[in-house]
Amino acid sequence: MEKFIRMNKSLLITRPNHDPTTNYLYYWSKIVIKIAKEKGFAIMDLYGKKANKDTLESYIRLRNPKFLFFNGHGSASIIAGYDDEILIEDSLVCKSLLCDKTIYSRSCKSAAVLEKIMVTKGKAAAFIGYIKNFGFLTRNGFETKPLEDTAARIVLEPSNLIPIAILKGNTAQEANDRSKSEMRKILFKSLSSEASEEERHSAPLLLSNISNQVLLGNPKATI
Amino acid sequence: MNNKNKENRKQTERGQEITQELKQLVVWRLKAIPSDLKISIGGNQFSQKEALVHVKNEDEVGNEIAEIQIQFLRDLTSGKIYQNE
Repeated sequence: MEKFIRMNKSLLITRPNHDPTTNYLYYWSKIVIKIAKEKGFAIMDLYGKKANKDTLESYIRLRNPKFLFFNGHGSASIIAGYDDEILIEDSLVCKSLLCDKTIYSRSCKSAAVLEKIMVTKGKAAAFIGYIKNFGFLTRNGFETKPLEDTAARIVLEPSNLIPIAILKGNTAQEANDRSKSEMRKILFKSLSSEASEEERHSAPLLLSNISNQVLLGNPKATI
Repeated sequence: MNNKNKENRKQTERGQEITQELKQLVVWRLKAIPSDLKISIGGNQFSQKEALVHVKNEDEVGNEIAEIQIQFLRDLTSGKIYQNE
């Protein structure tokens, strides 16, 4: 009898930590995992070296999570995992592993080409990502405690609103809008006399992230 | 356009024109970033000094950093930054 795998209330998250940038995303993703747990989601946490292609494919095939949240490096054609191993590329998309998934990729440029392939060819329900490089500031001395880095918080906290909104049952469009709205709020503050030094210098990166964050696929997609 | 102006204008990969005047603005802005802050972009982290070297060398990273700063300045001066999408 053919095994029927039901799309369940589950989150698959990749969070490699092989360099300073991925280490920040690794830590800041913990906030999303905590909320997913509180919401009763089953969590497939591909952290550190577990963020590899074999484990990813195995988890998707066996457990069929509906929401995929990628953290790591990327380019116009790939999303990478630990040590920049390619996790998502055209060949994986062809296997229909991404069918009906809602995907948020907090990685550079992955939306540029991959997004269109994933939604049209991979039949993902919705994809939120970035057309160009995703950027943020960090302050020296917080390498081992990224969650306490107020410079990184300016960008990473509003980007976390995307997966959090999706976990709370919002549509992809609502999640995209909510994070952009929060980024704009911080951007406007960064232009005011009340802005901190970190906010002032983060403003160009915030504007770039806002401009380059895109949603493709079904804007009404939910998990 | 005369030759001097041609020399003064360069296009990045994505077609944004960066004149020497704009590049100088970017350099000043980067110099204002405190030395204990790092720019994380494109999978790498750059100190203020490292970012300045990339911008001056006009390499891929430097052009990207310059473009981000210039777009910000353009949107700020045009008022576009205050508009919602």
